[in-house]
Parts: sequence; structure tokens; C-alpha cells
Amino acid sequence: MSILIKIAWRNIWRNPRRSWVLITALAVAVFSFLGSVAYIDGFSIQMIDSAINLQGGHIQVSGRGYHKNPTIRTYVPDVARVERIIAENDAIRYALQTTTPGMINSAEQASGVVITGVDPVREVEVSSVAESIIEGSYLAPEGEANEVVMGAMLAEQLNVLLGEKVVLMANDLDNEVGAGAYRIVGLYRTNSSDFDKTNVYLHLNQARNLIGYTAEQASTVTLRLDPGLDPVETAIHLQTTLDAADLEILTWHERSPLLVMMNEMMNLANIFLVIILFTAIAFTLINSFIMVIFERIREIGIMSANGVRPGQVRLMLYLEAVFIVLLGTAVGGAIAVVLITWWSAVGLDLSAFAEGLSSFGAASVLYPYIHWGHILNGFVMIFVLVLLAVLYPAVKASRFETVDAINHV
Amino acid sequence: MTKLLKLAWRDIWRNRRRSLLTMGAIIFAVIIISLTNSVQYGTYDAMEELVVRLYTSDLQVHRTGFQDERTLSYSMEESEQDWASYFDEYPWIEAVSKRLTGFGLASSDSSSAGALIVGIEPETEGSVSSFANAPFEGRALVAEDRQAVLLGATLAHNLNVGVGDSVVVLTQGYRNVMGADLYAVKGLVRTSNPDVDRAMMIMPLADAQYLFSMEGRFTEVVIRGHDFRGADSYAAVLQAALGEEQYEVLPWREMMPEIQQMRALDDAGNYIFYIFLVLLIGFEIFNTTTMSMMERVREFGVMMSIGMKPRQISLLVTLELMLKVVLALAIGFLITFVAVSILKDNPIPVTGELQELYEEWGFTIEGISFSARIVIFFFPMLAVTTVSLLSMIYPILRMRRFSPVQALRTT
Amino acid sequence: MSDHSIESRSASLATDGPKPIDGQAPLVEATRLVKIYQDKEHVPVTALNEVDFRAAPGEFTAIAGPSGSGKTTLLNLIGGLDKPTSGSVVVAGQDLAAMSRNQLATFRLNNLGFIFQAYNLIPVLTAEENAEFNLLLQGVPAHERHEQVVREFEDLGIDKELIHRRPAKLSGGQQQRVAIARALVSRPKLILADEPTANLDSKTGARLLDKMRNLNERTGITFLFSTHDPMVMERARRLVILRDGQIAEDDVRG
Ligand SMILES: Nc1ncnc2c1ncn2[C@@H]1O[C@H](COP(=O)(O)OP(=O)(O)O)[C@@H](O)[C@H]1O
Ligand SMILES: [Mg+2]
Repeated sequence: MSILIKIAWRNIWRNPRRSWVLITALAVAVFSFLGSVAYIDGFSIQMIDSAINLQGGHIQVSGRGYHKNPTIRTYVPDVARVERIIAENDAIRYALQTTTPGMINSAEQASGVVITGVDPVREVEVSSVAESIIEGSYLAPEGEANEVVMGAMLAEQLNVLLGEKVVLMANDLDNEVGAGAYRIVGLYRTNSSDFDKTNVYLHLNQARNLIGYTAEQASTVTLRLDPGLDPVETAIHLQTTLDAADLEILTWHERSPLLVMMNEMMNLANIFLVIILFTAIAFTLINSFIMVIFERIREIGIMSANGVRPGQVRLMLYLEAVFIVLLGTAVGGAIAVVLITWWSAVGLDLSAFAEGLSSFGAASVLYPYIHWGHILNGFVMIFVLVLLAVLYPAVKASRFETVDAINHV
Repeated sequence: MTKLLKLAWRDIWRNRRRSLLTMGAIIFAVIIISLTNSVQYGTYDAMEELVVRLYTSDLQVHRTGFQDERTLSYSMEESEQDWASYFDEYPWIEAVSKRLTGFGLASSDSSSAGALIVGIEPETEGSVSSFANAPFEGRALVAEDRQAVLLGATLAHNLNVGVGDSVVVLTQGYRNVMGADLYAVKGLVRTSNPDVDRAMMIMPLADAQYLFSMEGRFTEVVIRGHDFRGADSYAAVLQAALGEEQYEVLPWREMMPEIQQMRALDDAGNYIFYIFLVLLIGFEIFNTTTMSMMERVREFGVMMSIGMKPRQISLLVTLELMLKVVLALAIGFLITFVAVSILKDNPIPVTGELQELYEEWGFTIEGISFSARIVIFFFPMLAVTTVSLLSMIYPILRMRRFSPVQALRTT
Repeated sequence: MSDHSIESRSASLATDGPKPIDGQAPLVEATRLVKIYQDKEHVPVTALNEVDFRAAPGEFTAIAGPSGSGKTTLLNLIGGLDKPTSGSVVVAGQDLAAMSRNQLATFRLNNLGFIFQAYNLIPVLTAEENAEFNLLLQGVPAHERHEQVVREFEDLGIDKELIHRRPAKLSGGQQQRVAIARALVSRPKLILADEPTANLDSKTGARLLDKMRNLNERTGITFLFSTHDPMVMERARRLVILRDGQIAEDDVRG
């Protein structure tokens, strides 16, 4: 066995140019595979982050049916009880929201928006909107003044500036249209222009006034879990402890099934990529290894005469292929890791495609991400594909008739 | 030369397996690239057509500045032009319809939601777009309708109303006049665009003008041309005729930059992938050519000693490769062409979750479509030929250094 | 396989030299061997025609005859490298026809040693690694391997400084010695050598053959070699002459 490893390794260097071409080809394929995985995983992470940070945390508690049909008539009753139970777990941060569709009006323009009432002190723990303020500040904790925070893009669209007033209108629980004037205290900008154009924030007290909720009512309770706490298990646990038939407890996976599916689809695309690139390489590998076995036909005969079994001849060629793949993977992988690390530090600027990307809910600056699980899967496939390619030459070599091989010079 | 060609042809088949593998690699790459291109062109072409037909139509005329601001102060007036006959002189204009669009808050007995109100001319809208034509419940609007609306399916669901119910709409109209009115729901529309379904409230133009206090005014003139791909040039002609001061004329491409950008982003990704793939083919060609040359050193030595010049031998080797490349390209194209000719008329349907996903992205598609346009072959042809020629440089340079004596000494 | 048992067995044989074929279990027993090849035009060529051949343990036998008389064919059939068209080959009590490719390989590894005319060695291995190749396959531990190879090299007069060279850096005679070392070092029952001196000058060839005969006498390992070199035939203790695929003469000498 060890002698076969020795022979396989040394055989690589008998025709270094040929081997280096193979190694380079493999390195190129490994590099493009890693680049693509990092790019796609960067996308996924970003979209999952935005689903968690902007749109409801790891887990969201609401009235039953709210997710399918978000109206103010579906709310969390006796929210104090819900808060008390959630607060029992120190590893969960949470905040209450009220949410209603409404209309925003400036002096010249109107637009449909989602009006969310938040408790500014708690909200910063579950949402990244406060961190995304680019002008002005977040809502004051007291909630006494009529203040609103909105996306910078929406302000631009409405032609209003920080400090100016806008009118918000929404139906209240009695189906009366409520309206109020609010001063813009902060403008934010997130990754997603769609999000920015449709979400405005009031203090919880102000929003409750607008839609006629009491202090015992809220649309949603958004939960953010410390790392190490599994969303699915936590959701199941809450289901039993809250024990309320009129509540809905959804993890981000359940709220964004399309995101989950999109991830699966992109991973599938990566698998196709690996298969295509390595099929292309297979042609080179097969050709090179056929040449290799015909060049070495005599020594294979000598080995066979000396008692090397056919399986060992195959093994020797597989080992040679594995060494070449390992070298190619090392070279391509090293270059890829350096480049991806650099990329993920500076970000990949895709702003030329900004509107297109935001229709996916993706940002225009992408940070590639190395997901070791996906990379490992790819490598396993690469090895399988390479060994399949070498199968034909290896089997052929092991079937040489010993006499013919020895007579061959 | 023909003798050389004959010799080259024979040499290809002397090592049949090797030649076939090299050609196989090229054919494989060509098929992958052309097919990807075919899907890319086919699907985006079909999608663009559907999206254009759905709402924006080929081009629109607005008051200059409307596209960026989208406020009612950028409206146009009936009396500005003889709109009815203005477009008659352009034979490529097939249909024209006017719209007034603005925002409102729609409320039912139980709920309220923001709505995009689109006032249309029921007689003509159907010939420029499709979104208001075919309600899946109820009926389309007719010219005589007053205080009647069609609702997007999701909007109706959110408002908890159906055909026969009524909704109240509240707006802040032109010059800040508040408007409110009651409308009967005549039909529900479902498009393949969730944004439309979530927000759309369609009413007769006259109703919209009344609601926004904008009698005789509208915000968009929607134009359908002969071929939506020519929209850019149509727009340029109309823009020149109407002048930039007063009017902006926008082709669909500029009204929906996201589709163009998605296409460009997709293309960028594809081309990076193509380049890597072709590079790998280049390695295959380089390796086999160089190895064959090394194996044939003696043979070349013999050729040289009977008077063949190194240049002719280089030419012979290049001919051999180019014959293989051309043959492989031809086979690859033929296979792809047959495949896409069949697939072209039979888009692969996209159903279930995948369809939802596309719709969520705002991609209106019927399925994965294939294009048989000749452009799908340009890149593979160019790239494979270039890479083959490039990979010949090293072997040919080596060849130059051969001398017959040296060549014959090597075994 | 334990080195011990072979040594003791060979030692007992070595004292009394070759035995007459009769009255002893033969090491090689080839019966009515026929080998018919197809040449390039698919014309059948009879390389061996009903050959009966036996060899006893400890023999030092040359198979001679003109080129094309069937020497290589006979040796290949005995070595299990090729299958006869008809007839049977039994070596060390084992019928080769009944064995699979894997079994044959293992059989060769444990019972036979081969020396071919030239290019016997694996190019990427050094002289030492080539010599210990069979021991490596048998899984003999490193220190034992090294000891045995060094002893064999000394015996064959292979210079110490050659042991780390690859075959390309060795002369033809040196290469053949390394090949002999490889064949011997695992102490097989039978060594088959197809024209081992054909590529060497006559002086080197003669020295090599003396070495082989010497080894045969010391270890009792059976040697079967083909040749058409009279100088080689002289040194054999039994001379079998093939002509047109048949045994023309079989001459046992002292
Ligand atoms: N593989 C083969 N195919 C066809 N004919 C062969 C083959 N090997 C040997 N022969 C023929 O068989 C005969 C005996 O060959 P061989 O055993 O090599 O003789 P020797 O070793 O005595 O020179 C010769 O006529 C030779 O041409
Ligand atoms: Mg012979």
C-alpha cells in the first residue's frame, strides 16, 4: 500500500508540465466553485439577516391568522401575560409592536405604507432599524411628542425633509379613519429599498392612539434569541407555555418559506455548477490518464508479473488522481480563500444592479461568505466526479494482459 | 494546402479516442453555454413581453418629472393637445389610452389598506395592457360604469370584500383637497405580479378625476407600438416631436429598470461561468496538443528531413486542431439547435413553490422558455476559437526550436 | 511468508545439488502444452506444440533455441503470465489454469521471481526500493527489508552508492543485478529469467550468470532461463533445446 502511494506520488512528477496543467485546471474549477458558493451564501446570509433583523426576529408571536391576513382586528390580547412568560427566559429579548396599513401624506404626495408602533427602548434589541438611521435620531423613549421615523427613500419620494411634518391616516378598531400629523425625527436606510419605501415607525403609545388599541393589545411580539438557542425548539416550548389557542408563534423559516426555498434553489444551482465544471475537467483527466497508462504500460506489466494485483493497479492510478485533485484543491482553495476574505471585508459593489437586487430583497453591496458545510459537500462531489473520470483509464490499466504489457516497449 | 488539409484530417483519426475526447469537451462546453444562453434569452424575452403587456405597455408620455416624483402635480390636461388625433400620424402606434394614478386609503366595513388607484379609459385600456381586462371574478369595467372599481385579489382579501361589496376611498388629491367616495366592487383581478395584486384599485378615469379633484387631467398617456422591442426608438421619435420641456417620453426599459438589471446581473454571472468553463476547455486542448507534439517529435523529424519546413508543420498541427474545433462547434451547435427548436415552442412549466418564488421576485413568467435566436451561439463560438488558438502558442513556439537532427535523436 | 522456513528448506537441497527428475515431486510440471497465437493477419501461429516439460527443485536449467522457437512463450506459461491454448501447467503443486487473476498475482508474489531481458525496474523507484518491491508487497517490516536488500546487494556486488539511484542513472548490467536482487530477495521457489544477459556485453553477462549459478548452489532456488547465447548454455546444468515449438534435446549435465 505505502509503496503504491510512493509510486503514485512520484509518477505525478514524471511529466510535470502535464501534471501542472491538470492541477491548474482543477484549481480554476475549485476556485470558481468556491467563489460561487461564497457569493450565493453571502446572498442567503444577507436575506436571512434582513428577515430576522427587519421583519420579525427569530420568532414572532401574534394573533392567530395574523401572518396570512395582517389586520388590526387580529391582535395579541392580554399582552402583559405573554410578556411575562417570554421574560422568564433570559436568553430572549423581545419587543411589542402594533402594525397597520395606512397612508402617508405630505403637502404634495401620498403613498401607501405600513405604520408600525414600537417601544423605542426595547425595539432596538430586536430590530436594526434604529441602527440604520442616517439622519436625525430614533424615536424618543417617552412617546409624548408626535414623532415619526421613515425611510430616507420614502422621504425623498414624498419630497419632505427631516423636521417637517407628514400626515398619517389609518382605520381604527371602530372603522373610523384616524389621522394625525407627525414630525419626522429620523430617516433610515436599510439594504432593501422596498422595505424603506413602505415602513414608517411611531411610538407605541402614538400608534395605539391612532388605531384605538388599549395598553393590553399589540399586533406582534418580536423575539430575538441569543445564539445557541434554537428558534424551532424555542417556538415549540413557547407554544406549550403560552398555551393560547388564539396565538400564532412563527419562526422566521415559517414566515419566509420562499426564502428557505430560494436558498435550496441556489444550493442546487451550485451543485449543477460543480457537475458542469468537473465534467469539463473529466475530458482532460480521461485523456491525460489514457496517455499516462499507455506510457507506463511496460512497468505496469512488470509490477503485475511481480505480484501486484489488478485492484492495486487501479488503486495506484486513483491515488495519482487524488493527489492531483488535492494539489489543485489546495492551490485553487488557497487563492479563493484569500480573495473571498478580502472581498468579504470590502464588499462586492453591485449598485449598478440595485433596483434588480432589491426586487429579491437583496442589498447592493454583497459580502461573500464562506459556509464550510456547503464547501465540504462540494469537495465530496469533486472527489467522486474525479474518481469517476479516472475509472475508465484505471480499469483499462488493470485489464492489460501481463504478457502484452511486458512485450510493450 | 489541400494536401496538408488531407494530412491533418488523417492525423485526427489516427488517434481517434484522443481526438474524440477533445472534441467531446468542446461539444459539451458549447452545448452548456448555448443552452444557458437560450434559456436566458428565451425566459427574459418572454418575461419582458409579459410584463410590458401587463401594465406599463411599450411607452408612456408624462409631464416632465413625473417618473421621478410620481405626484399629482405632474399631470397633463386634455386641452394641451388634440390628444385624440395627435398620434394618428405615427403608423407604428397601435393603441393609446390615458390613465390617472394616485394613492388612496381604501376601507371596507372591517379593514383598511393603502391602494394604488388607477383611473383608466375602459374602451381603450384593453388594447394597451392586460391587467384590467380579465377579472377572475365579476366583470371588467365598461365605459358607462360610474363609482365602480376592480380590486387586486390580495387587496380585496385584506379588505375582506368581494364582488358586490362596496369600499370607501379616501385621498389627498390635487392641491391637497381631500376626496372621499363610495365605490361598488365589480370585479377582482389577479395578475402574476403580487405587487399589483396587493395594491391595485382600478376605476374609470372620470371617477378618478372626480376623486382627486382633477377634472380634465391625467398623469399618463400609455402607448402600445408595433413591436415592444422597438420602444426605445419610438420614444426617441415622440420625445423629439413633443419636446423635453413639457413632456417626458419613456420606453418600458426605463420605467422598469429592475428587469434590465436582473438580466444584466444574471448575464454577468453567466459570463463569468462561461469564461471559467472555456478556460477548462483551453487546458484540455493545451494538454492534448502539447502531448501529441511530444509523441510525434520523431515523425516531425522525418518530415523535416524530407524537406518540410517547420512553418508547414506548425500549420499542419494548427490545421488539425482547427478541424477538430470547427467540427466540434458544428456538432455542438447542431445538437443545441435541434434541442432548442423543439423546446422553443414548449416552455417548461414552472409550478408550485417555484412559481410563487418567481412571482415574489416580480418575475412574471409562463415557464422556462428557450430561444432559438442565433445570438446564443456567438459567445461559445468566439470563446472556444480564441482559447484554442491561444493554447496553440506554446506548442508552436516549441516546434520552432526543433531541428531534424535533434528530433530524430529523440526516441 | 517466513524467511526462516525457506532458508532451512533450501539449505537441505543445496548440499546434494540437482536431483534426477524421476523419483521426486517436480516443481514445474507442464503437460502437452500448446500455445497458438493469432498474428496480425489473424493467421494462427503455433508457438508451442504439445510440449511436456518438468523441472525439479534446485535445478539450474537453460532453455535454448533459435529466435522464435517458443522459449519466451514457455517461460510465460510457467510463470502464469499467459494462458496456454491447451495443456496444463502445475507449479509447486498448484494448477495455474484454475486460478483467477488475483490468485495468480498472489501466487507469483509468493512463489516466483522474474528477470526479463531489459527494463525490469520501475522507473520512479530507487535501486533499493526496486529491490525491496516484492518484500513491500508482502508486508515485510522495514528493518528486515533493509537488511535483506543490503545483504543481497553485497552478494551481487552492487555498489553501496548506487542504492539511492533511479534506474535511469544505472548501467544495463547494474539494472539487471538490481532485478536479480528483487527476484531473489523474497526467496521464491522458482526464478524465471527470459534472456537475462541478451542486453549485456558478454563479460558482464558471464559474470552475472556465474553469480546466478552461485546463488542457485547456495540457496537451492530453482532457476529456469532462456538464452541463445552459447556462453550461457555452457554454464547451465541442464540444457533444453527448443525447435519450432517442440523440445528437440534435453541434456542433463554435471
Ligand atoms: N503475442 C504474439 N502474437 C503473435 N505471435 C506471437 C506472439 N508472441 C510470440 N509469437 C510467435 O510465437 C512464436 C514463438 O515466440 P517466442 O516464444 O517469443 O520465441 P522465442 O522467445 O524463442 O524467440 C514466434 O513465431 C512468434 O512470432
Ligand atoms: Mg524470446
